[in-house]
Amino acid sequence: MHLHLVRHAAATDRSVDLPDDGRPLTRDGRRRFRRGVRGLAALDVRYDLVVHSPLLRAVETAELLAGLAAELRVDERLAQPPSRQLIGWLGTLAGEGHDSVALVGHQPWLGELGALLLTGSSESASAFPLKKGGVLWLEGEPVPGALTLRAALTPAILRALG
Amino acid sequence: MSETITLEPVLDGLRRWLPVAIEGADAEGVHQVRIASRRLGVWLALAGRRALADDVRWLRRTAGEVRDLDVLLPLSLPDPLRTELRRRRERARSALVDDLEGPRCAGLVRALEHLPPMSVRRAHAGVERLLVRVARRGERVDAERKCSADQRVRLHALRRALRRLRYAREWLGERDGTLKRLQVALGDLNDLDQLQRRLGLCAARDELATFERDLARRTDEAHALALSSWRRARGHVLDLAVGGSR
Repeated sequence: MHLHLVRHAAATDRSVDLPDDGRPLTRDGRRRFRRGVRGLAALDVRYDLVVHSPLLRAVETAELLAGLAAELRVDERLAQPPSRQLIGWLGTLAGEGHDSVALVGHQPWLGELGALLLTGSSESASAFPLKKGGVLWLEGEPVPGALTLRAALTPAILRALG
Repeated sequence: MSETITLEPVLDGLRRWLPVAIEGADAEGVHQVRIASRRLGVWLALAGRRALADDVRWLRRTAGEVRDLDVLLPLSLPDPLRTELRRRRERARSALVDDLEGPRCAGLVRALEHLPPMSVRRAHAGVERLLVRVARRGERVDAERKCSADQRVRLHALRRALRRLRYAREWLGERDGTLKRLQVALGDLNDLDQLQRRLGLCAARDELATFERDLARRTDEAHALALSSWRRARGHVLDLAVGGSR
């Protein structure tokens, strides 16, 4: 499986007037991520499935990836620390033939998931920084410690490619 | 009138009916979950939102598997068919409960809670497109040989387009009794067609020969009624398509 861990694009700041779940992408965040998506397209990236957190900034980021995706799916588990159930489900997806999957979510959880899948432990999560709009590209069987890191695509790299 | 349309009224209904659908004692729960998912699907389409559309479709389909069987089982059915449909319903219900209690459904409800409202102007533009689509599908019904199998396929396509149009107009606060009556007639045809399809799943076909003949006759009658309903409503639909929903 090719697994892309995608951090949502830049969103409005937290405020007392707006619940965290409902923070939308900023105009600049959208514009920059659109360029990043063109960068992914230039790398011939196509997703069988994009799974995203239910928070609005992840929903809107997933929407911007829709042109590269056969299917979008929301999942509550991407708004939580990574769980065994989530990793088990990735294995099920691989078994069903989903070869190219993107997970759109949030830090620190994406970093923890990446560390877990690459090293078997989430303790080294800080070694895998992921900026807003950035992508960690992993490859292999989605089992803890079994994937390899293909690329760490910063937003600037993706925009340059786009 | 407000310049925006929030999906809160339907989402509120979905939240209320989900536990009823999960609990399973009242078939209305699954029925209302399916209706809510259809209405939400239309809202998302009008709002031009791509994300969550696949999830709402998934919710509609998983509820629909159970709902279709809930509609058929109370009918007068031969025992082999009833047994088969009950077995399928048990399986569909089990899958439905897993889905409704799972992270995708929870994520969907949570995501829908924070979607910004859509503009009324955008909704009107969407309704106008749907009106044109219904008119075109009606033309395709008229172009087919009367009461043929091809015409039946076209009538089902008209039914689906009509339902989307009706829900879209309801988001704008517009109710239309003529379109509702047409949809009921088309829905009756669909129910009988569904039953015919499920008859094909039943092993004991010899025992069902009389029932199958009677069902085919009833379906033909429903087809004729649906066609006649469409012809009565056609002028109204074409007037709407020309004049728009405003």
